[in-house]
Amino acid sequence: MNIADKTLPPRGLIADLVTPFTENGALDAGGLERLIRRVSPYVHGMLAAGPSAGEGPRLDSETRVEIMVRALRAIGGKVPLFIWITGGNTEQTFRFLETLDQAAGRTSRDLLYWIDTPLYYHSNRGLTALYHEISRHTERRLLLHNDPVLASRPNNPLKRGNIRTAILKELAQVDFIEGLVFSGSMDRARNYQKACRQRQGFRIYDHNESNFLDFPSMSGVVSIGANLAPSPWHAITETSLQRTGERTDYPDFLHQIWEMGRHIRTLMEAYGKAPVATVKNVLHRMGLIASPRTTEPFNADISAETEKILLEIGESENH
Amino acid sequence: MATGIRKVLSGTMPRDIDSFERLNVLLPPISRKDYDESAMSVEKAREVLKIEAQAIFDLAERVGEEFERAVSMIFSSKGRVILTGMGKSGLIGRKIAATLNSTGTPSLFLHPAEAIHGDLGMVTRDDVVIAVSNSGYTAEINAILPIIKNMGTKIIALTGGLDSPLAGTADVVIDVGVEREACPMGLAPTASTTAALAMGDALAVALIGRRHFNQDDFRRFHPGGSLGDRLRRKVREVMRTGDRVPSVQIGTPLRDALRTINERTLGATLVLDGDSRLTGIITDGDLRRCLSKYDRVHDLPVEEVMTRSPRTITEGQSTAEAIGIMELYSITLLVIIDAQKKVKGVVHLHDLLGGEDFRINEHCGQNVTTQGPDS
Repeated sequence: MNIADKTLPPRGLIADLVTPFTENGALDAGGLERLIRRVSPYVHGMLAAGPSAGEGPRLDSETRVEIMVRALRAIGGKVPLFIWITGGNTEQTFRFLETLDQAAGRTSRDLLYWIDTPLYYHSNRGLTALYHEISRHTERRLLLHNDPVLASRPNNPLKRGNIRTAILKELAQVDFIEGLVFSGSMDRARNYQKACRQRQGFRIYDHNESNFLDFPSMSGVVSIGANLAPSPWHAITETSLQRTGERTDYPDFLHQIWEMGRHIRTLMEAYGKAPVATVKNVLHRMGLIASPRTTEPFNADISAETEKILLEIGESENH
Repeated sequence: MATGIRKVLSGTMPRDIDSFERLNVLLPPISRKDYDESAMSVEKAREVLKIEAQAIFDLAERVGEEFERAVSMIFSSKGRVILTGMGKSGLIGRKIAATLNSTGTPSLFLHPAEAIHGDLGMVTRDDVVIAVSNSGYTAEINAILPIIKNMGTKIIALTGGLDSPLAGTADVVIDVGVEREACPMGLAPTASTTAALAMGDALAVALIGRRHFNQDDFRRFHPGGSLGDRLRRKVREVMRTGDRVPSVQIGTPLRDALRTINERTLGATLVLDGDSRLTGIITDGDLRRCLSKYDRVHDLPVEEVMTRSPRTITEGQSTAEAIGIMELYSITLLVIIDAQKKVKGVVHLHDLLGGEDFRINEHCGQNVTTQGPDS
């Protein structure tokens, strides 16, 4: 099939949605829908129940299903949704996949992708066979996720935190794997890029916002910052992917991009210490989500960072 | 000097302790921040170069069937190749057009904005349009492509946007997409323009192979270099001398003169007297006139047929002057003589314009060997 005839995963800004909870720990469905409605006009896709912003490792099967169903409904088919299927071990991952796949029903395969972090529960050895097996359990397509920090969780017996480049080269040839969400060094990013170059249209999204701002991946970015500032992130992503064309008709265009870049970096600096808690705190203060509650108790004082972000966002919106 | 020291400190140059200590006395102290920024600049530069190199390596892996189709399309086209693109892609388009022109593929650049305002008239059905746009969403390009398509003109897209409107319109899509740009926030396309530029070179070189384009063709398309060089030279440096000068002596039968003309392949022969002084020239035109005048020509002596007082030049005059005389009298051969009218050599228009390899004479002032009536 010609690559141009095939629907590929989206290029651009993928919002790494936080998972909002009520004070008693239940999913804040209203908050999730408000959040989705807020970011929806600016993004090309959304990641829900994700491994970092979505607190996926501490979400059970039922919560993931509920998040998926509500998110799909709120998105209304406008952009694809990525759902994290990874469990603590291979069996749990298969169970998550099965439950989610059943709940997804007849949702178009262009609107729902699975994301899996294989090194979280499986070694590099035998990964290709694992994904051939996974592909037999679902019709949907999958994106890999590489994150050495996530993989180095306590009690993980696995030695490596990164997918080996040679293994990725094999995986990139597996038809139903259509991309990679990448965290790690730029050197590794280049090696991965080399490994996947023979697979046309294979997406490599930056999960590290800072890397994307410096040397943007042409697939796009999976951004937690998009929860807070979807419009500036959209503008920066569009210019990074050169989808805005040459704005010669817009004399201060580059100046505005610089300004937005500064704005985004200020926000990143402010939420960098504790991204999920800080972002949730800000969203709660903005009245979008019911509470700033996270899956694990968080007691550090982030009020200064929260104020700074609110001020920055307020300034940005006033402009 | 300060930059040199910073380079030393950031580890990019072998550290010369003596010179460093000496310079450090002369210069104000450099702050830690300066060291860090210097090292960061070098690191950034390395990263940029690695990303751009990677972009080209990736193209090498992906180039294939579509590229071959593009080469065939251009090769079989009866028209020109028209490059179009906006902004940096436009600059890349201009360079590709220049490269194609230099290598034997007639090409020109069409600015998409000017195209909308009338320049589209330069595009014909026989042309091939190459549109350069990394995203494939450039509004100005996508505005003109349907019109070009409607004319029946073939379109090749050099784009990274394989699902873009440009890719959808084009007949052939060459993927020049890059996985990563080297400039923050897309302020300026970097790796993507490098990739498009390299792919343009690849097209031009592939066409060279297809056309069997050779060294002489290349010279013809680069007059600014070689012709300019020739026109600055003296006639003595380019004239044919010695055995390469066709000549016969007075009294030689036309039959032998014809043999000389054929052997030396300049379409003429000089006629000299016993002291090697120029008395005339027999050219193809003289032969035609002779044939129409006489029934039997072979035994006629050359002085019956020759043009007396042929156009001459001295060896110290410039090649530009030689061309001027040739243009003025509509001739292609000039005889170089000295003050005694002795022949020093000849120069043909091809010697001046590159009809054959341009040979600079190593043996100026050789005697002209004449073919006498008895030879």
